Amino acid sequence: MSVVTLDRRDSGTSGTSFTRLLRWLDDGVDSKGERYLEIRRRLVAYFDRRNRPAPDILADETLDRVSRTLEESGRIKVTPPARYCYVVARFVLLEDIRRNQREVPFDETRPASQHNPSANRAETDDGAERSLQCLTHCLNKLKPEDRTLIVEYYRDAKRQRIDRRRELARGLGISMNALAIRTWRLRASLEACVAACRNRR
Amino acid sequence: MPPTPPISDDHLIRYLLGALPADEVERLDERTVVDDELAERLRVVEDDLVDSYAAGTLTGERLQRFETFYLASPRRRSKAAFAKGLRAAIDRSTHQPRPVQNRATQPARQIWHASWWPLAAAAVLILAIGVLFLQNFTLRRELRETARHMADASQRATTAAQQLEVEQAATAAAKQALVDARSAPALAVVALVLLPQTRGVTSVSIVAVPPGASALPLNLRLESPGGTSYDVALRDPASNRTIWRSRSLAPERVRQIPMVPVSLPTGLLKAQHYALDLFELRPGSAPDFVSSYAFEVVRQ
Repeated sequence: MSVVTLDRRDSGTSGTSFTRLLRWLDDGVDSKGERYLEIRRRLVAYFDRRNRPAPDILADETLDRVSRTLEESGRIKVTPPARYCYVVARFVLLEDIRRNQREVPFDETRPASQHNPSANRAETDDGAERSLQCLTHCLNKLKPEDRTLIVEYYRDAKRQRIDRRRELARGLGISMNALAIRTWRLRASLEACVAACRNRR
Repeated sequence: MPPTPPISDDHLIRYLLGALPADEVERLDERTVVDDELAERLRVVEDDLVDSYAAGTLTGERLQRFETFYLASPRRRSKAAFAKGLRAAIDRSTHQPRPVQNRATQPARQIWHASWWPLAAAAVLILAIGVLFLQNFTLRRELRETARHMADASQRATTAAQQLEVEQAATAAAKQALVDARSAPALAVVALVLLPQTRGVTSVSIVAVPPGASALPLNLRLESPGGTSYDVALRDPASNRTIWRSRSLAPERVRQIPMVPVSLPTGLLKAQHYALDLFELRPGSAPDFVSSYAFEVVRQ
């Protein structure tokens, strides 16, 4: 079983409140912190799709507020817990939009892609080289069967790819949907490994 | 609860590319946080979309939206870069020779004497090292190619930025319209109805408080009636601090719709966002949170 590390460095939530939050998010099924990580991932993606500059911070702020409400009220009637997290996230989003309108000139929120293209090219070459080394390293860390699965799942294009995935699912005795989720998890772990590796170098 | 209609992959792609109307975006925002199955499907669809971009198979409006909308976030740009690297690595691994499946070596292996085993192992090791060197060389070449593609994409993104400037001008016009709307004559503040906040970032009620008013009457619409007694907490969302709490309130029906009437002291209200948290009161147990109602106060 994998060990989940929950990093709450920036949180104002105490240990007890955090444990209470984890239990509430689990909704009766002990996920060993996985549910918390999953909801946080969804919130980060939500804020990111709304083009907020710091989606991770907003996701943590959302979960901190939920935790405080839980602490003050004892219980939250809204079910499932993810629905209440979304309600709070909307408030956090509104406030962040409002704060940015007040404090940040619009020009500064433009994507970084507007930077000098020639400078970007040099950075990209360098970054791509690092990514290559990290990707090789991370692929080698996967179990052989996982490495084979990810290679087979993502190779080819269009029609061939669909046929190959169907064969893979049949071979593993699982549905196409289950196969897609399994490979997404592998890809996500690979992506996280590459990001961590790049930060170290 | 009625069953939610299925959502096609195409619809999810349009969601990811910012091509859906605002109310539909908000509906999907909620579902992608709350609905486990949809959250997982969205990730798979997103990965496939990013892979298509990495493979150069996106065209037309989708390509344009991908570059102008999707790549606007550093996190998503990083996903696209990862997809390109992964693609290069997978192409490389599917084109390299596979030593363990080399049939030519198998008959020979059958006649090897046991004392030849270390020699055979050394040969396999040398072969594997050779493959690794070859693989490393090929991968580096493909990566340089990928980097060139990414730089081209960056150039296209610069063009897209110019289009953004046009949109920026439109945003400024919209802001001005909002300012005009807020400075319009005051709305009646008598028993304004607030709806529970489940979605709709753009649907926050704006309440104009006229000078001299001492109380702001509001009706909080109940999604599921049943309680006999409620109370309401006025919260400042910025600090998440409760700044006022009502006494016990009884629900009423206004035109057959169940509501909880509450009157807020206007002296506490500044020009900002607020949240009203509604709790159901039951004898012998802690108050049960029912729903939140968002509104923005505009002072006149």
